[in-house]
Amino acid sequence: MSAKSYEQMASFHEDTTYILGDLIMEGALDGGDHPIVVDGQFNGDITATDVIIREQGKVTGTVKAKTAVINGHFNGNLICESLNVTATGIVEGEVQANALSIDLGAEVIGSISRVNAKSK
Amino acid sequence: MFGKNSVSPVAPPNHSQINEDVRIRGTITVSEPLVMAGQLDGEINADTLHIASTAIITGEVAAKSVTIDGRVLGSIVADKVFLSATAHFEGQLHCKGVAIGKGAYVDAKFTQEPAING
Amino acid sequence: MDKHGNKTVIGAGATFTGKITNARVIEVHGKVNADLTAEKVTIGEAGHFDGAIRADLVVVSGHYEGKMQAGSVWATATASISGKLHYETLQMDRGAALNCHIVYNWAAKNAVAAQTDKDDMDLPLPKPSDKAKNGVESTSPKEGA
Repeated sequence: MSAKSYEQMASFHEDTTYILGDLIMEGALDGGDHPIVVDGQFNGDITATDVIIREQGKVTGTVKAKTAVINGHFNGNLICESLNVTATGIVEGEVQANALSIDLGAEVIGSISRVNAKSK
Repeated sequence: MFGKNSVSPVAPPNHSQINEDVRIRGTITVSEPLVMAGQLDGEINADTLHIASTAIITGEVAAKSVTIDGRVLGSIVADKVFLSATAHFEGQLHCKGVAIGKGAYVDAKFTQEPAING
Repeated sequence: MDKHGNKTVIGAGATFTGKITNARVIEVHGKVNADLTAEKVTIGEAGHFDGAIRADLVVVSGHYEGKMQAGSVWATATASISGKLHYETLQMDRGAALNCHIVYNWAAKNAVAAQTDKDDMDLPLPKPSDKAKNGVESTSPKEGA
């Protein structure tokens, strides 16, 4: 698994929001100033500084973040400044990102455009 | 016309290369690996294609494997696509696998056939 | 593996509104407005949970408002609970603020009897004199998710 992103995300703080594997959450989640790691299922809106969707994670809906790392499944609208889709990542929908990297093996279906104004 | 070879990649033998000062309007079809450093308004059909950082392609690109360091405006249909940090791509992409390096400018619609990790 | 590998955590500063299902172990340090069924729920000191909880074990160190049906409840010194609390075993540390209707589950481990509000009707309700009673009225039985 992409352990690299975890180290980057700093030691898992008490303040990191972490959604476990079997969990299904629906609704609106705001991570505050801290990262959100999704290992389970989330349907709805996420706003956070950093969002990490782990390999088993599945997020459907709208995500607004500064950075997003997608190792799992994302379907919906993603607005972020920096995006990294790893080899196991699947992204469907509309993505707006200014800095982006996609690893070979990733699946990207939809459109990728840039965030025009830095308004979030 | 100096040898403005500062950024021009040197193609290995049996590759074709189109230098950066070349401007073409039309269709290029090539079966050997091609390094494209010039400007094209039209279509490229190739097998292994390297669009160098000085290249500007407006139109359609079809290839098996494309490495893009330069500018492409239009559509790309390929099996494998690599967009490096200096790439600038606007348009549509239909491929089997894509890798995008950090720093690439991308504004495009992606469609993909999942064939690589199957 | 990271330390949080086995429990869901809602970090401090995070806010969530919605529905949570399938939770096993969940720790709330932020603000959650949801209904929840889980095995173990911990509401941290900074945590604020608004909604129904059905769990085996609940440890409350922060705020809770709503209807809670739990096997074992531990309200620590910083806890503040309002609403309705159905429990089998309850421990309250000195300092905990309980402004709620507390009901012991006479029925067996199944919280079946406690699900319906009939139980409450039988017991003499102390007249809700404080504002904290909001939780009681507004929590409609949203469980069964």
